[in-house]
Amino acid sequence: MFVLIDPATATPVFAQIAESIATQIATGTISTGARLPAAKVLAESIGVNFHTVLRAYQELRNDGQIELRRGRGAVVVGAPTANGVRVAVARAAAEAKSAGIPIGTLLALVRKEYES
Amino acid sequence: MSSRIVDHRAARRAALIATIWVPLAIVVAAEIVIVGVGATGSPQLITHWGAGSDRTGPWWTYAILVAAIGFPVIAFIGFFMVRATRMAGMNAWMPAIAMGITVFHAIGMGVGSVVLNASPLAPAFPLAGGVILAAAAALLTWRLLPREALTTESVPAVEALPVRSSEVAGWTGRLELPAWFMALIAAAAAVLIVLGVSLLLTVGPRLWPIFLSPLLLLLVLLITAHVVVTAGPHGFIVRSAVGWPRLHIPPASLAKAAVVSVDPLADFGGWGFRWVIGPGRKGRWGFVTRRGPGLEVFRRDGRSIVVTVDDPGTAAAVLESYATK
Repeated sequence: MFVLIDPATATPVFAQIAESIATQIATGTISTGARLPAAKVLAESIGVNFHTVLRAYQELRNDGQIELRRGRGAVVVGAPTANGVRVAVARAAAEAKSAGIPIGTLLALVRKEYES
Repeated sequence: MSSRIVDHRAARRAALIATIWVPLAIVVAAEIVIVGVGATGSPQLITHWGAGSDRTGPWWTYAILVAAIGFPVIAFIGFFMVRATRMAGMNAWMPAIAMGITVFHAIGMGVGSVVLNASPLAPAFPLAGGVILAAAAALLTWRLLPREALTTESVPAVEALPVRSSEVAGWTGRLELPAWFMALIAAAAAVLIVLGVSLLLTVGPRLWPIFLSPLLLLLVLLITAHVVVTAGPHGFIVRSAVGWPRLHIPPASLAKAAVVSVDPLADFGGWGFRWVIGPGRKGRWGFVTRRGPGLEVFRRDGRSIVVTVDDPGTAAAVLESYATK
């Protein structure tokens, strides 16, 4: 499993890890039923503390993306079919680009829509 | 008299001829001689085995003996030689063994025993002569077989991942041996344990070392059941779930990473943790579980590690971004 983080940005590292994994679940790169690497192993691969990865996994569990089972580790549960959302997001992103709307504004708009 | 240096395909062809076709020709020629002598000579020959005095048997005993040893041996060694594409040109010992066994049983034991049957020289002369001839044939094969040119197979490195200086990219993978392979090892261990217990009960406790081999098998099972691979700023690590063995290439000695095609039997002679002399005459570690694309990570001194992980391209791209050029 591939994870890319940027510790220099304001977003906490655990949130970046969770986001990186959530994106891959949404795009189907990580499939339902797949076992995520052990927190210790993932922590080694990106050189972060093991608790940071555990926190990311807890975040993903709270979002209903994974299940944490004793002995089996983190397992990806049936994520809601994200394909329709992906297409809609791609359209929104293209529209925002052509209208010259910066990514921060687009994200704020999405957040507002989602939380309303 | 020394080995010529040729390219890989020529070396492989010569090795296969020496392992399969020449022994096959020797067996067929021996059969022709045996049948010729048998059909024209006495129908009963002395067979020099069995308890007590020499017994006699029909001449075709020898014909069957030569065929029954010759063909399976050629088929067995030939099978592995055909699969061993990489090793074919580098190791001449398999062709030498095939040649030695064939010469010993077909010419020494077969033709020698039939031709010198009634002579007082039998059976010592055919046996001793067979051993000498076999050793000579094996040595000759070893010396004459052309060797493969020592070229480092140039595998292209994968394009590095575009990682900004503040970013950190990491990759994890895992490897599991096929279930049938694990079942085979477990079954072998179980059989040996049952055998050991029954022998212990009948013979006595001094036979305890008999449990060393199943113990070793279970240990192999434990360290190869589950292997973890990580790639990132720390370099490249391959280790078993129990932590040992552990192979590590730090970024400072990481030269390049590539996607290669792997055939466990041909490239490493089997599955699991393996070490071979690679195509460039450099040590090549491998943890290989299946055929197909795999990841090969090279140290700056030319040594490498091969793992048959899924998605080797991403892993190689991550490693390339940390490689020291």
